[in-house]
Amino acid sequence: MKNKKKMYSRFLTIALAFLFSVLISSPAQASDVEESEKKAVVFLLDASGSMTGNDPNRYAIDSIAQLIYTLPTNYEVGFVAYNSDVCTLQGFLGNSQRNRIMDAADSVEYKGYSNAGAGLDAAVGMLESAAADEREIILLSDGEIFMEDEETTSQSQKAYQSASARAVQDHIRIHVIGLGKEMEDTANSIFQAAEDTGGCVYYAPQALEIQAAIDSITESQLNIRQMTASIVDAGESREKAAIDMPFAHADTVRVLLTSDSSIQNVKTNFTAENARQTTGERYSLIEIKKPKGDTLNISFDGMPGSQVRITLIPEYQVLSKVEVSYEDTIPDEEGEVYYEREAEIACTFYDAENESVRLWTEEYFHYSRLTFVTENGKEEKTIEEGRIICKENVTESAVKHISFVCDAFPANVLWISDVEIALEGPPLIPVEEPKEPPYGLYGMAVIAVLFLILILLLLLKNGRPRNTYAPEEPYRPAPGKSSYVGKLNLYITRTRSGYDVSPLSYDLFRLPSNRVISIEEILANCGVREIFEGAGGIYLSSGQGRSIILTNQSDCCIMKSGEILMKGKSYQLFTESKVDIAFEDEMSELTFQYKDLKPSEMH
Amino acid sequence: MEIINQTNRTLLLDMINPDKMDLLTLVGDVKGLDSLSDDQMREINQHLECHSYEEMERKFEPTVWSFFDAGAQSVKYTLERPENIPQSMLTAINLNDYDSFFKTILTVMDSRKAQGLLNVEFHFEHLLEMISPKKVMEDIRMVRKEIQFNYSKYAALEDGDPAKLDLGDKLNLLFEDASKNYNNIMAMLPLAIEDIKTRLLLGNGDSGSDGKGIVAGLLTMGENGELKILEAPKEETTSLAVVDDEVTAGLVEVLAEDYQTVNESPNNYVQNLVVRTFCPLTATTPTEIDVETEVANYNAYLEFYRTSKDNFIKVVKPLVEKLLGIRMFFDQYKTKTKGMAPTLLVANLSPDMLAKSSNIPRLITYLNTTNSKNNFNDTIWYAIFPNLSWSQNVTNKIHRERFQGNVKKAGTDVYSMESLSILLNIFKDYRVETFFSFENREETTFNALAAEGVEKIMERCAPLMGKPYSEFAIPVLPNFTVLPKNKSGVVLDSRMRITDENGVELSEAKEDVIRLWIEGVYISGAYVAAGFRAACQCPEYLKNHFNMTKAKTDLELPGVRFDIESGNHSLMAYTTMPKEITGFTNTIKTQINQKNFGWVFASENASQNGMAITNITVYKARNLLYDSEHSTYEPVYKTQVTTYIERILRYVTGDFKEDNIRDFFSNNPRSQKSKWLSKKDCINAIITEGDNLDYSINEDNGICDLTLSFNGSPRNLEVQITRVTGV
Repeated sequence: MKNKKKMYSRFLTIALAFLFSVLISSPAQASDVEESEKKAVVFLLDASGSMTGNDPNRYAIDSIAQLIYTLPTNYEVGFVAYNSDVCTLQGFLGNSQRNRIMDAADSVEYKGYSNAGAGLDAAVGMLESAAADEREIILLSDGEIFMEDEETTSQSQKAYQSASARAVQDHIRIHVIGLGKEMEDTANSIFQAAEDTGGCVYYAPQALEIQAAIDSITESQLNIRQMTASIVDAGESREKAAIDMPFAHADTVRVLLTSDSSIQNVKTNFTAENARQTTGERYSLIEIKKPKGDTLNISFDGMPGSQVRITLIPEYQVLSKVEVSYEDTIPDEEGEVYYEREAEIACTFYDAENESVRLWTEEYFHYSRLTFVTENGKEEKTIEEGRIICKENVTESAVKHISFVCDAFPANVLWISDVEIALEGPPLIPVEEPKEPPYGLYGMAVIAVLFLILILLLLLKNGRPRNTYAPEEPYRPAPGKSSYVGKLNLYITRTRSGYDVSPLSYDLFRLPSNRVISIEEILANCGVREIFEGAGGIYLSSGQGRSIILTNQSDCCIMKSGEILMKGKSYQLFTESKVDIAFEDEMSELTFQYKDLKPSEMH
Repeated sequence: MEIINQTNRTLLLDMINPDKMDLLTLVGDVKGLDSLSDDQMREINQHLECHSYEEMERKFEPTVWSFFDAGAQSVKYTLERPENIPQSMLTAINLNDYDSFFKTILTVMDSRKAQGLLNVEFHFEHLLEMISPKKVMEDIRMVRKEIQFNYSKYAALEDGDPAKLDLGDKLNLLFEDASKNYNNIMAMLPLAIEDIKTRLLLGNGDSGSDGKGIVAGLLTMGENGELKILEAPKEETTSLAVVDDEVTAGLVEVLAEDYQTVNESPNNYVQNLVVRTFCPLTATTPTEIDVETEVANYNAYLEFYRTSKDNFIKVVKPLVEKLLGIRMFFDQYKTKTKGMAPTLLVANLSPDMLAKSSNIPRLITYLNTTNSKNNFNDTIWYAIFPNLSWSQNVTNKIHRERFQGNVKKAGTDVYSMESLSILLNIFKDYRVETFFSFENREETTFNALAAEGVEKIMERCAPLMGKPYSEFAIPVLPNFTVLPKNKSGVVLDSRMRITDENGVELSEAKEDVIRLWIEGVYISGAYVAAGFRAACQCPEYLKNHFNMTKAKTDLELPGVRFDIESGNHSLMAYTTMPKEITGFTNTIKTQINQKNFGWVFASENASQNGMAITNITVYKARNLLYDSEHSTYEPVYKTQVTTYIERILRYVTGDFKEDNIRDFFSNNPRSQKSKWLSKKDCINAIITEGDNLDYSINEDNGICDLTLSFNGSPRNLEVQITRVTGV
């Protein structure tokens, strides 16, 4: 009974669940769009005279270009170069003016002493006044602080330490790239600042390796997501490349071509809202706003034998949306008054400027990870088919706030909106009204049962006499091979009820040869309703030579030709044989005569 | 006739005397028996087999039991012995030639036969007066005259004279006859009536006497002369007549002694009545007679006589009709040279009783014995099933009887269609042809048939058609009329009244005429048809009837193939029944010929060789097997020929041995077929001109298929061949 109830409640549950999912699912309201996080980076370059030895090809300048053009739009970039003192200082510039930094950098000459204290002090000073959430200094130097005398050197060292201390105080991280043999010793005082501020130390023995150090910093320290789309070995002829760009509808995609040799005549072919191209001697940047297509065709002239790396840096401004649907089930525990409710929260992502443009549905983003940050903590989720689904049990109505962390996401998300979801608590389990018993159903069931019983009885009635019993005994007359040929004339001479039953005739010739039939069955087939005890134990079967075989397994007294037919024995009856039976009740009596039928009588 | 010596043994399915043995009783318990022993068969034949009417009468002693009902002060009659009445109170009346009623009917029949008159022409009234007391007395006078004549001679001779002994034998017979009336008080009533009449009117009641001053006799009955039934009359003190003649005195003594000896409860009054009746009244002692009492007694006796006679006739009539039927069965066999005389086996049971399931095994066992052996002495060929119920259980609903109508028969002597069909189904297996006719009533007479045709009867026979046993059912129509219902009135006498001058006379007023109605006496056609067919089986009979023609008769062959419908056979061989009506109209005859239905008798004007045939002839002889190909019912002879050939074949071929069957049909002159073919010109040939007898053996199922072709109309007969197995 209990099981029945449970099953019934589950049935109800599924039905309800479907209902709720249709009725309740509706987009949750996203919170207002905020400004993207501001970040500030100052590139501090050692422009002392020793650099001419360590970086004769001015690869350091190219690496500045690589860095500043790699940084996303929300970065403000400043530039300080020092030698005996600060020689070049370029304050923070926005994304669109980064070429001015490159102008400043290009103008730097390697000469004089190395006053890192002054340089760091200037850089920290810049960052101290910058309104940014994250502040970083990337210092490229090829040696210790070295001034014209010890005093100034000491002063500079003190200034360096002081600036480093200020940086620590202001949560400014300083990453140091050491260039040349002199910087091989990581215990160098220059590197001390990195250690103090939580930054990293990189060592580039040769100027060409500065690029690798910059890559490491951007990727692992600044968390800049970039995709190396192609590396092209430049040949004699013009190079062409068709690059898959899985960042359709990104806010911005930067295509940065870098090489250790000059890159010229860069041409690109794409579809986008807007774009601009900045070209240096050994680099080229194409900044594409709102690209539409998924392919970028690019061609350039490179120095034969050189390698050109093509990197894509996508940026997104994202508006997130959430839909919630509920599934309610009746709890297994008895006595619960509420459903068990599970909310399914589906997050989808849209372009912040155009809410109708769905993002991240490309295959490139499948199974990318995104972190949900809620009151309950962080939870890493995977994007599938452009959306993230998470399930949560809801016990009461609540407002849930979700923010997203895109650290592990393969694209630079400059801004992503948080969402707030109003989760509705589970409804009460409706108290089941005692339903009126389904009398109609009961009636039909009763009729069906009666019908089945009737069929069974009929089957039993028809089936019971259909005894295929063929007693085995020695000296039994051989059975007939062909079907029966005759008929039985039956005369019921005495009945228990005293009624006179008219003479009966039963055609045997229709029966197959293997059919064994009892007297009871014959009488039943003739429509006799009297009861003849023991008639079921008197069998007839087909015999040879147009005869039948009578077997008595009953206690009836059977007489033929003046003799009593023994119980358990079989006797062959030929045509015209007359058999008298006194049944077990010692009252009913019957006489039958086995008659031959001519072929013409069998029609 | 060396194989089958009779083809006309007939089983009568009716009861004659329930006190006598019947077939079922004689067959006895048959559990575990396939057939009866020869001893049993002999016993059955001893009790039931009859070769003549007289034998039947002797064996079955048709009896009516009478007893007196004190409550109703009347005489009751019954055909079954009343079990709750002591034997001493019962009187058995033997229905023999001495019974006035039976004798009257026989006389009517004989007279009609002799005169050849139609029913409408015949004066039944004259003959029916035989039932009246006057005729009874006339008969007695004849007897007594003979007795007196013989006794006077007897008394004259000396003792030891051989002539006296011869006369003694004669007198014994005469006294035997006379004594048959002693026991029957009813038989004495007419004597008493006539005695009073004689004494009061000088025996001249109808001679126009004026009835003046005649002194009445001295006889009274009982103390006051009134009829007393149960109480024994007191001793009569009145002096009897004085006989002055020695012879007469001797005769009176003998009669008185005889009466005392024979009668179980002698009565002086009756003794004197007997003596007076059988002894001529040559002298009387004049005694004063109470005329008034005597006249009252006379009227009472007459009324009582009428009532009891009426009761008697109503009870005895069905039995009389059966007896007449049996008589007519045997009567058909009229031939100068006796040969295969018909034999009747009286089952002495009602068919309804025989058809009960509990009794059928006995019947089957009996038929197994008679008809399933290669001994054909006891083989039953025909059966008679009379009095089949005519009613179809549809009666007009009459809520109130405004006029006195016919009293419906109790139905005890009417047998049901169900019984007939059950018995036919059994007889079919033994190839017994059954003649059946409907109950005796106006609707089944010649008059009705002539007026309405055969359709009504066909309608009633419908349940028996299209059945496996139809071939063996022969509906016989119509029944014969012995005494038409509308001419069955009998005038017994007139009441007596005292005249103004203290004389007596017979009243001539219409209401004083004492009359009774017999309400028609009929004979079932089945008896006559079976008797006639049985007679035709006898080659001597056929020879006797066809001796005028050139047709030969073979005395070794039975008349199984004799087709009464063929040629002028029906004019050469006809029944002994007198014509009843002027004949059927052509319309009815056309209808009968078109339907070709049943065994139909005809009462037609015909002549053969210049001699008018005044008898009933056979018009159709068909059974109920319908031949749809020819749209006709099959002639009866086909069935019997088939039966005959099958039985001969079984006998000759040693139970259907294949080789013997081939011999049977071979062209060898000694083969059975050749023998039959050699006699095809005979009137009783088994195979006549146009017939054919052929056979084919189906090797697969071991069936020999005989094709008997009767004038091109084939009839098939299948027999199971006996094959000799073994090496």
